[in-house]
Amino acid sequence: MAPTALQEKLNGLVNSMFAEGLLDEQFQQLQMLQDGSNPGFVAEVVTLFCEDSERILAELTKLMDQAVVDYSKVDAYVHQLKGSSSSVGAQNVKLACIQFRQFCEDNNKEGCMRALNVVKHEYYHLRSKFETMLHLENRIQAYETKQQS
Amino acid sequence: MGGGKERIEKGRRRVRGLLALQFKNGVNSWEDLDENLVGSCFPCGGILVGWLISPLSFPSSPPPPQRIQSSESKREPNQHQPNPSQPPPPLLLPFLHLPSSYDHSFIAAVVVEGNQQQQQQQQEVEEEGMTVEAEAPFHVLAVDDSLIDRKLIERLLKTSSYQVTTVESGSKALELLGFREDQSSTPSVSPNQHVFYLILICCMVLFFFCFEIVIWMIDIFDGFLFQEIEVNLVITDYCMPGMTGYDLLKKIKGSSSLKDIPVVIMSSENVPSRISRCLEGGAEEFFLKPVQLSDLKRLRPHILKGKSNCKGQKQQQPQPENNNNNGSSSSSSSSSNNCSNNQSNKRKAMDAMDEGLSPGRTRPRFSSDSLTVV
Repeated sequence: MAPTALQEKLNGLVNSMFAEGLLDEQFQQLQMLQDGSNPGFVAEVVTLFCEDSERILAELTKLMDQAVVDYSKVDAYVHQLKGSSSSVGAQNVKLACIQFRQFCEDNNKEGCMRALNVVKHEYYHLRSKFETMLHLENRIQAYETKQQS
Repeated sequence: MGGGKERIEKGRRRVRGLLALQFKNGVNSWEDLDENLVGSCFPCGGILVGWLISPLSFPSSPPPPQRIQSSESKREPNQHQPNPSQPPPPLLLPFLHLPSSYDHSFIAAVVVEGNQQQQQQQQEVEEEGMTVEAEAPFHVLAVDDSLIDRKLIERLLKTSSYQVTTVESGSKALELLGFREDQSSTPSVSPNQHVFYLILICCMVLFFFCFEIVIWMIDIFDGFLFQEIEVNLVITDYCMPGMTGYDLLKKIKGSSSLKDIPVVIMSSENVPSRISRCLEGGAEEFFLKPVQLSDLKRLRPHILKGKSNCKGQKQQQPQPENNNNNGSSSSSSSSSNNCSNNQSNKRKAMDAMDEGLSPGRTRPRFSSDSLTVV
């Protein structure tokens, strides 16, 4: 596929993510911070976010599987995930985390379990879109590198 | 008395040996020198002793600062800037400047001149350093336990032309800043410094004419005893495991050597009591996360103010802050009084919060509709 077509596809994907509420204006800030001196900034941040999120979700799953749930630890992890999703512009994940924290404050285990599932669902949905986005970016980069050489 | 005479004789022999290396005609015997030289040559022994013992006084001299994630400096390498982590060069200048012919009063004058030259060179180096610093980007130390947030703040700061060092905790930040646990506004001394000052006092007693050398040693060592790297501003997350951003703020403001470094606190949560607590604790600004480029524009006045406090220069007029949000201005006043500046800013922040407004510096994000102009 031609690079312009790839770029159009990428733009379309990102726009749809904004429209769905997967991303908010903070992601635009990240895009603006990417320039020639740091062309892989968005990819780097997105990759870090995905790694960090999966680590946190694994810990949350473990904690919620306990007979007696330590809500303070759960809240700490959800706070971390909320922070990183907010920094990346992952709006739906952030909103799901806010709901989760509410259930933590109420020590509502059932509510927390449901909230955790919502967070996972939103995260995995976002991750698949991010993977497609990074794949398109890499292909565009490869074309540009080939043209320069 | 006898012990004192022996020491004097030893000192004479040492000085004679050193002088023999420097003088063209050599010194064949102590009798060649006037008795008045005794007191003047003691500084030479003091210099030797001080030079020899200085590595021993600092068995655990601070390691070079560990830059966990630091950007490359944008400034050109400046060979004139003193490296605080290395011990100072030995004071050989007096010897190098001694002429081939001499008289007894000249040696004392030369030693003093050597010290003065050393001090002058130091001043020149400092002036050059200051000049270079004015041209070089400001250095910001960013503290955040979240890797993503560290990446983001690093990118934001670099885009705003700051030199950045990022660390993951308050304790690492204090380590980089050279903070000592026993350091406070009322100065206290660590064990290594005890040893150093003890030896210093012994030198003063033995060579009581060496006041100039003692002062020189304190000036030289003081620079690298108390600060590892020079930082113009610290920006820290509030919620961190172990030491919170507020704890870090209090440590910095409670330190005699670090209190003039401006501190900015970030938080993802808009809690008015937290904000006011931090501002009352000495924070210059409180940013809500995610921090944006427009927020960083408000850092520069605080950095400039901090630099002028540190250097004791005439304070530059801070730039008035552009505040698009509402009528309550959070800009710094043009007062040259730092305390009144801080207090007026804090009052403005408190007033703005009381009125339920969204002042520029706190920028509460109650909804995603409140976009900021970038």
